[in-house]
Order: sequence, then structure tokens, then C-alpha cells
Amino acid sequence: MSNEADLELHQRLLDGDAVAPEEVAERYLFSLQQYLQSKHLRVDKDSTLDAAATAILNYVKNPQSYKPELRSLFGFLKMAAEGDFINLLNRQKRYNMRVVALENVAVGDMAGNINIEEEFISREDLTLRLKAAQDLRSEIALNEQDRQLLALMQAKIRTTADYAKVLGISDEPLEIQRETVKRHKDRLRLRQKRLAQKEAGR
Amino acid sequence: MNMQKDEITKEVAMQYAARKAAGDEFFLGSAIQLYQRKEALDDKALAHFLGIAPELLHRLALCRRPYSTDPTTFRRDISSIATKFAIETRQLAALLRRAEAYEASRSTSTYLMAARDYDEELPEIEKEQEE
Repeated sequence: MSNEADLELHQRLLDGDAVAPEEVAERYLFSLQQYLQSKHLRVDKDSTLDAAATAILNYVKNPQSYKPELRSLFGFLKMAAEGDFINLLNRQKRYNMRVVALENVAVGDMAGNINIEEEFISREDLTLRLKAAQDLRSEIALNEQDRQLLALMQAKIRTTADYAKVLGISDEPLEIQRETVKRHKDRLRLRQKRLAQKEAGR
Repeated sequence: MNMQKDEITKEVAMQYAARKAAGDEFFLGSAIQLYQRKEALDDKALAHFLGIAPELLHRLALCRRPYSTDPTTFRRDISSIATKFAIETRQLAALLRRAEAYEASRSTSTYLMAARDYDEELPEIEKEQEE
């Protein structure tokens, strides 16, 4: 796309043209996702798509953030998408580190206590303690579906369709989807709350 | 969002962006989603109502949402969207006005719920103040 056409589209956004946002997405969203994907080969495609979509949506909402005199529109979008992409990865990384840390705390504490108290506690006590640690680990451990649901929650995605797809209920009526999604989100929030309480109590 | 196993195509990307846009009142997708939910319409039924192919719904969702608070821009925006997607102007306007009405009723009910909660809490608050 020529620079002139970019400028014309940009001006239409500034003027509040109602169809210009769709045209920006139509022209650049896919190219942007492909660009991120080619640059970050090891990262999943969902993350690159999310970052590309976020960059496009942010730009069309705030077109004044683009300064045509500094770079091309695609150059600007690439830069913005990279930023969104890094933010998304950092959020995921922080979340994963927290889960792993909790798992290590549970296992680490258990092992340490057994070594020190091995000679003093009865076999029955040991069994009970092992079970408690196992319960905690199973509570912390997330299955793949829950991980995906949590990732959506963390990315502040609110559309039922995204959660329904993860849960495999996209073909269900919307009301059923909404109720099921809400139930799962409530369950995960409760689980996070319990984990936070347990963590605080340690 | 889990599309790891599927290849991302341009269509998939546009659908994803449209779903994301539906959560933002800046975009027409927010009105479409609300209308669709309240009227219990699937994509096919909604597309039929608007007189377009269901595949075009996600592109429509990415347009800027016209608001009736400014009649001049409302008419202008509806006209440009309707022209681009070959939609019946009247149907699109009806959808947007209905969505606004749903939002207004939602705000009112939220206000009433808040007021009701306050009424329920009032005796407790008064009791605490007396103590």
C-alpha cells in the first residue's frame, strides 16, 4: 500500500469515518500477525494474533498516536504490536512463574520437613502430611483447559465465544455458553483466591 | 482463542479482532453483540435481519459505532456503513437504537440494584452508628 493511501486512511480515522477502522484491520491485521509470527517463530500463534489485533484496535481508537512524519503506518503498527506482544508475554511469564513458585513451595516444604522430622514423626503422621501436600499440589496444578481459560482472563478477554471455544461448547446455545463460562470463571477465581489465602497463611 | 492447531488465515484474524472489538463500546461490534444476545439471534438470523452474508458480520463489527446522541453524525455514519456493506439503513439504525435502549435499561437497573442494596444495608449502617 502506498504512503499516500496510508495517509488518506489515517486522515479518515482522524475525521471519525465509521468504516475506516474496518479498512485498517482489513489491510493490516493479517500482515501484522504474519510479521510477528515470522519474527517470533517459537511463540504460539494465538499470542501474535492477540498482539496484532490489540495494536490495530488501539490505533483506530487513537489515530493521533501515529505521527506520519516519523514512519510509515505499517512501521508504526509493527512497533506498536511488538510492544503489545512483549506486554502479553510478560503477563504470561509472571503468571507461569507464580504457579511454578507455588508448586515448588509445596514440594520443597514437604521434603525439608520430612528430612528434619523423619525420626520424630510416626508413619501415620507422614502419610497425612504427604496427603496434605498432594492435595495442595493437585489444587495448584492446572489442566491445559484451565491454563487457557486463565490466560484469557488475564488478557482481560470478555467475549463468551473465546471461552466457549476453549471449553468446546461453541455449538451450544448462547445462554448455556454464558452460564457455563461464568461457572468456570467463578471456579477459577475461587481457586486463585484460595491459593492466595493459603500462600498468605504459610 | 485457542487456535494452535488451526492455521491463522486472514478470515480467522478478522474474526478474532471482531470478537475483541465486541467488548469495546467504540466499535459497532459492541452493539451487535448486545442486540444479538438480547434478541437471542445467532449469526445467521442476525445477518438475515441486516440483509447481509453472515461472513460479513465480523467486518461490520470492526466499524466505528454510531451513537444517536448526535443525530447528524449518526445519520452520516449509518449511511456510510450501510453503503459499504449494502445493508438496509433502517435495519442498522433499528439495531443501534435498540442496543442503546438495552444499555440505558441496564444502567437504570444497575442504579436501582445499587439503591436497593443501599436500602438493605441502611439498617445495618444505622445500627453501627448507634453503637
